[in-house]
Amino acid sequence: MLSLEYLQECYGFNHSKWKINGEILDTEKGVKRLTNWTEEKRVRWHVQWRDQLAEKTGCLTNRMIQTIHGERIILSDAGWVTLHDEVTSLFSYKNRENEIGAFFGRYFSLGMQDVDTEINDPYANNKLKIYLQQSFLTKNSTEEMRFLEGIRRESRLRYNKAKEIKEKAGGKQEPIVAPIRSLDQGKVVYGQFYWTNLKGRPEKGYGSLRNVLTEWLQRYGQTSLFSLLNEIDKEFSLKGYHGKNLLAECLTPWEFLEYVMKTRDVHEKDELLVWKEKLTYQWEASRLLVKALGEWLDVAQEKVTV
Amino acid sequence: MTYEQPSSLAFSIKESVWLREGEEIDELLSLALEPDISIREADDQVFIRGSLLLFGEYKPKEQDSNSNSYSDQISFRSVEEVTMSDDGIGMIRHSFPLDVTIPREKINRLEDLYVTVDAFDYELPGKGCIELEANVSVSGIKHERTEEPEDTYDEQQDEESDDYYTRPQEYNDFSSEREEMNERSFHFEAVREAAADDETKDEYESRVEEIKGESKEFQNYERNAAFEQHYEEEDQYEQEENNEEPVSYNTDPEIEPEYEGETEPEPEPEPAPEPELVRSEPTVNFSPQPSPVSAVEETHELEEEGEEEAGRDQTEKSSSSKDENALYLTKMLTKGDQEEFSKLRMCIVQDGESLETIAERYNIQVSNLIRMNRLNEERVAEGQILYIPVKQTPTSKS
Amino acid sequence: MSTNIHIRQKPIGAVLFQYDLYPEKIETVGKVKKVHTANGIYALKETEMGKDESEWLIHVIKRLERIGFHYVVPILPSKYGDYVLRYGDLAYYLMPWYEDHTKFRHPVHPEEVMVEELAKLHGLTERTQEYSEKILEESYETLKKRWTYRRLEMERYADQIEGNVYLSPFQLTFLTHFQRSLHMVEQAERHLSEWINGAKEKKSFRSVLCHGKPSRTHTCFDQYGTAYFLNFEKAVLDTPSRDLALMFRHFFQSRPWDEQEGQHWLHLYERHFALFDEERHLFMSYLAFPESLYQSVDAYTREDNKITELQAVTQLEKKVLTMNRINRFMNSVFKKESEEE
Repeated sequence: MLSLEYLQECYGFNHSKWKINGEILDTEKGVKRLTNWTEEKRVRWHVQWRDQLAEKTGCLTNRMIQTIHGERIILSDAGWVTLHDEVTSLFSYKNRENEIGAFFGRYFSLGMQDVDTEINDPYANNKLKIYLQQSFLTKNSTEEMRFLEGIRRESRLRYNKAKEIKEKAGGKQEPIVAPIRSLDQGKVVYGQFYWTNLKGRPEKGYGSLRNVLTEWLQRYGQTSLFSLLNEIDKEFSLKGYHGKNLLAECLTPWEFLEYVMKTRDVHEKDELLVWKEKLTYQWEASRLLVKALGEWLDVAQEKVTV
Repeated sequence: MTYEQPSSLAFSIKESVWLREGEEIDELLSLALEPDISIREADDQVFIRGSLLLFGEYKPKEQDSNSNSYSDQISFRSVEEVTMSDDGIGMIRHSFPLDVTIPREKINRLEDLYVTVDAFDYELPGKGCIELEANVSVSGIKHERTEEPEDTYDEQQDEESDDYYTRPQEYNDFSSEREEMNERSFHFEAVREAAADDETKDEYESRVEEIKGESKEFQNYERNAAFEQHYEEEDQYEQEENNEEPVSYNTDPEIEPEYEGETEPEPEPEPAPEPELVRSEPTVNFSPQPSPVSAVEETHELEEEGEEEAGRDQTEKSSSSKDENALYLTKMLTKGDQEEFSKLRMCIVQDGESLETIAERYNIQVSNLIRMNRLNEERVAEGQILYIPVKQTPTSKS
Repeated sequence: MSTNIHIRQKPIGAVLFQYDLYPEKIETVGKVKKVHTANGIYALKETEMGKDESEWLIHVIKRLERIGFHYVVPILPSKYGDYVLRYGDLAYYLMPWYEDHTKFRHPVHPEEVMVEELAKLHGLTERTQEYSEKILEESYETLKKRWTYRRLEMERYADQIEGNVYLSPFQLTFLTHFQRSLHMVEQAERHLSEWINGAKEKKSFRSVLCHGKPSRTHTCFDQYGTAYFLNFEKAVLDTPSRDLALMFRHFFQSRPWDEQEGQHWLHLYERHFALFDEERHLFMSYLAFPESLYQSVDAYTREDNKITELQAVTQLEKKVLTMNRINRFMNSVFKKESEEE
């Protein structure tokens, strides 16, 4: 762990103390968070990503704070370390479809396609495909197996539809972005939107957008979602193949895979129930999003053809 | 009642059973055909009524969809819907209504009257369809012609050479006419002779008699290697000529009720023929259900019932479960509405009967009979089988 | 580019957040926000600037830093290393607050300091351009055409008012000095020709980083008399003659001077950065052309002219005075030269 003295010297703090040891630092320049990285290429990608995102959107993001010598990354014995502002107040998206739609539109059209580090491409591994192919049924199937089989079949249906849509859309370039897990990554500082990027691998595809839209639909309803989509579309054309690929992504039954993976070794009924509940929740969220997105695309297509 | 020995009324069913639209069978797990019959005696007639119930479990194939609008194309079911309606095993439930009327005089003892499924076999021609063939016989009927020994369905056949297909040895297949048969055909024999009526029963009171229901089950032998091995050699059955002379009919597709047009529900059939009009000829009402079979979720219950059905000599039990069964099936197939099916009625021409008398009895036109049966002349012979067009009146009026 | 997203009120708080500045008080001083914080006072400049302009400014700032030119008020990077923060059409950059002194511990002549520092800036950024006669001729023609046009305009105006029975005091003053102004135009054109001929002969010309708006208001003096330039928003790469002429023009208008002083300033400049002969002609031609006098006529004849006749006359007389001084300055520079030759 880097010493307080060293950090103070690097970043030119006069006063600082740990709020959480090795993680959160209270300084005269505000509360800062340390992020550890084990892969240099990845941290460099994220520096670039955040800079470009800020540049292109004009929004604040958790960019790397530079040292007094202008370095954005410092070394520790465990790898690489970056410093960020710790912003905790959540942004309220209500009635902000325009700005946030523009933000996400630019987020997904940022175009940092040349990635020098390992990326996360959910389609690159065929685990889902494998589990979708294999029936869970035996002659003496347990209730759980029968449940799983029913879900598998519906999942397979979803998967095939997704595949078909994706194939029709054509294999064009998919966005590569910093992963988004939740709208809660949006914070507010001085009345301004502040986006907290996650440190995960660059992610290929539409999973992050799916997460955004799923949550948006749950929080603000379909009308608001449609406004958001309209705004995103201005920057990141969803009426073209991106929209179809997005729809395919939303159809893809990732929650099924997660459920299978998570429950493989679970024998406790209660625990199984918890996972089942989670599956049901996610599944339903996907279902509603797919429905909404389909309607939006249908309307969008009509508009295009008319 | 001289030298007569029990005879049997045998017929075979070859029927295509359609699954719910869009579903296809990936693998058949089990299949069973069970008679669900009651025998009643009234006015010198014995009525054998009920149905043959087909039970099956299968693993469905996943299907694709085609639509231009995304909204239609992409919808899928919720977890709840999936869980409630379908646990991954497709269910086949199909009932073949059966209505046989036999003059009382032809039966020695009602106790000896059995309806049995002697053999059955199936084929999966694809496209969400099961082609079923079964031999059903009603035994315990007086026989006159001794030159034809009964109960000798010796020949075995397995032309499909289906992997799953084997049958218990004690049940013999009967399907010599398979080559000639259309998709749906009857194999029907009736032995008609004036019979002694010393055993007439006068009880008007209906009497549910013991039914000997035999059911056969096809197992998915993939899960039963030992069993499979056991019956391996039986795949080599040779076909033999049946020494009986079965009368076979190829039904005319034009007059045949639509079995594959799933879209149009058949009008409701008229009730079973009024017994008093039927004199001394057996009628077989064989009524395939035209609408596709739905899948159901309550496997266990039905399996249990199947087991109960298999049990013999338990009149009370089996009849009560039959009721449940019937109710359940009705509910399942038509979502609570009255079950609708069309009937095909046959009549075996008796001595002294003409087209006119038959037409009169069934209240139809002679020309109708001729057309329906594609007759070349206006003459019928004793023992000839005629199809009787069914006036389709709602059951509720009966 | 990011016009949609930022919005509503000016994002001063969010801008300062990017510098980790937590203001205690913000004052508006001219175009600058004076930001008081616990860690010092800063000047936040808000300006309208496009993307290309801001990128150029950043380039200039970085270049000045790299070459070690310290007579500038530095632009501070944000905590992320950005020099200019843009919000739509608005751009912000932050500097430490430099108090401008007019009284010094030792006697200091601000013009001397400024001209010397300008020479240092030019010296440090000097670059010989790839010779292109086409570029030279284009510049020459453009300027000459413009001057010809201006001259015609003024002649037309003179003709027009000469026919009047009654002349206003302004018109009278203008007519009185018009001939002399035409003489200056000729001088300007002569020096311009000298410049292009010299440059063509030499087959080279050079550029420097020009501040673009060198003036006392864009300069901060500390108490020791050291000057720091600020506002490089209009900085360009151009001939040193231009930047120098702009500074002299500023001097001529801001205080009384004479040709000795002018010579002195030029001498100070050339001590640090000697002009080539042709550049000196160009410098002089910029100064000679009586543009500022003609601008007074423009202002006077404009319909929305708000100044009184007296103010207009006073202003015009001042310009005439300047013109005459420039004439003397010009003569002295080139007389001296011809003596030297």
